[in-house]
Amino acid sequence: MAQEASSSTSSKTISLKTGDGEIFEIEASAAKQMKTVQRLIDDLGDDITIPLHNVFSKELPKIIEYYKKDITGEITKDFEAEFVKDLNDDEVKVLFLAANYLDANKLFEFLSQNIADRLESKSVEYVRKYFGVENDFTPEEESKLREERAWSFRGIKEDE
Amino acid sequence: MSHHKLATDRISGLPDEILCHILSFIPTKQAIFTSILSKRWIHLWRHVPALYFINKKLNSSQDIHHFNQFVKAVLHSRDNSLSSHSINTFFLDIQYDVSKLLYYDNPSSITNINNWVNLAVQSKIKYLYLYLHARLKCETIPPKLPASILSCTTLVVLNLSWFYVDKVSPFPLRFPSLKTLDLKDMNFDKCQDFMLLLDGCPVLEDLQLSYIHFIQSFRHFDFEQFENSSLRKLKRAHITDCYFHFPMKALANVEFLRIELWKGYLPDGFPTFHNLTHLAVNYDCNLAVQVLQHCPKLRNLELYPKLKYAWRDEYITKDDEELVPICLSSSLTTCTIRDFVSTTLESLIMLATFIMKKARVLKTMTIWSNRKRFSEIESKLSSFPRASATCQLSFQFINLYDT
Repeated sequence: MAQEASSSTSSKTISLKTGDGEIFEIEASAAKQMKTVQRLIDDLGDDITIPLHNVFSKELPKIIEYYKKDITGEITKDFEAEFVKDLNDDEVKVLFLAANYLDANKLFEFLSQNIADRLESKSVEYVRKYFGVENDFTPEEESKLREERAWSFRGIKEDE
Repeated sequence: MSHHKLATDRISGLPDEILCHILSFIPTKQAIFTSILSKRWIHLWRHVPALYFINKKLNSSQDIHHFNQFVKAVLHSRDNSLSSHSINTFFLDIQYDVSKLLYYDNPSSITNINNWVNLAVQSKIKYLYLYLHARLKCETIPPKLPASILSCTTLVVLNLSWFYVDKVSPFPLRFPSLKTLDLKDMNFDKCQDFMLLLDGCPVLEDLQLSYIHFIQSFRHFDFEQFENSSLRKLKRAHITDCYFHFPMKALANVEFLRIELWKGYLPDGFPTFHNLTHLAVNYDCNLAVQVLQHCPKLRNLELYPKLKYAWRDEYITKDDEELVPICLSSSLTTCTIRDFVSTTLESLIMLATFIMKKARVLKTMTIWSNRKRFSEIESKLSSFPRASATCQLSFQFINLYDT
């Protein structure tokens, strides 16, 4: 049996398995940027397929695309704008949760800003639905609070 | 469908810190209205360690008065919360009509800024952004910079626009953590004050200066006496519209430099920029090529016109022809030259061919010009012999009247 030369870290890839059973490859240097993945590698070794129960095949490729650009230092404002251009609010939310789970700081910060931008002028009802917040105010409590906060409500869109 | 429902449930299961983190990117006015989402959210906005006040429409005394009341109410609300949460970011971006403010001690004036800034400084603020814009700026003195900023040792980022600084005392440990300093439209009483400010930033990495003026004459000020030891960590510098002789030695370690040179600079005043890989400089000052002599590792060069009326001087002199800057023969890979309405076609082509003739590892030469000049530039340059076999010519179309 021929002896295999040890591969250099730069070309090493890690296998990731999503919650719905699909497998994706990423560079070891990209995996380092996702602290959760790195922790799993440290515990399980880098030859095993790393299981990611809370990330699915719909969003993982997008995340991999982001970090592919990050390790070559190519993330620019233009790239980031392009990255989220065709995503709707729900798709961004799913990516955001994945970035949080993976402890992928750079992507997390960027998506936080993007969600904030999207929600900035949306109505209360929209934001409630978006965050899955149940309105636990009585109508009286809510109207009293609205009155108190009247000074901050100028400029907010009403739901259609 | 169910995938998204799962996501929504999981977002509501996130800890407060993460929700606050999202809120920290929204202007405070919008963040406050989340307090009516549900009981859990009533106080969440108060935990956001950032305050953003953005208002471009302060056109009347009444507008200003309302704005002051709003900020006061926000600060008051935060103060009342059970565990007072510190602020690490304070961002103010306002535009007002100067003609409505006759005296600065008018109650509707913006002197409240002093109070707000003092509060921020007391909270050990790290990121401070104060952008003032006045609709009619000319012949008006900008407001005085709140003095507490000059002794705020916790600052990491300080961005200021349109203030007057009257006295800066010598204090080398003024900003021990400051990494970014961005000053625009600033008036300093004396040149010394400005230099002393820079002197107090030992770990500064990013410096942006634009429209810096000195009220008192600086004709007899020796800029070279400035101890440049404090800017050793500087990585990026951006100096435009500053008509004084900025000490070049202080920029010796930068990796990225955008600078507007003008008559005041002398050819022998440049240090060796041994880390510089990206340089953007105006070619109409007759010194651009001289500067190249001092950039041995330069990879990217941007040449653009600054002055509205180009000088009659040649952009390349005889001396330039003889001494080839090291970067041209060994490191320069991209070059961009921007055309302008008062640049003659001849000088533009001369500049481009000078570079193409000497740059041995050049990969791209990009010319920014209009469609009218494009064909002549293209025909002259594409047939010109290039020192680099891999050099590609590319064009970007622009309006020649834009700078």
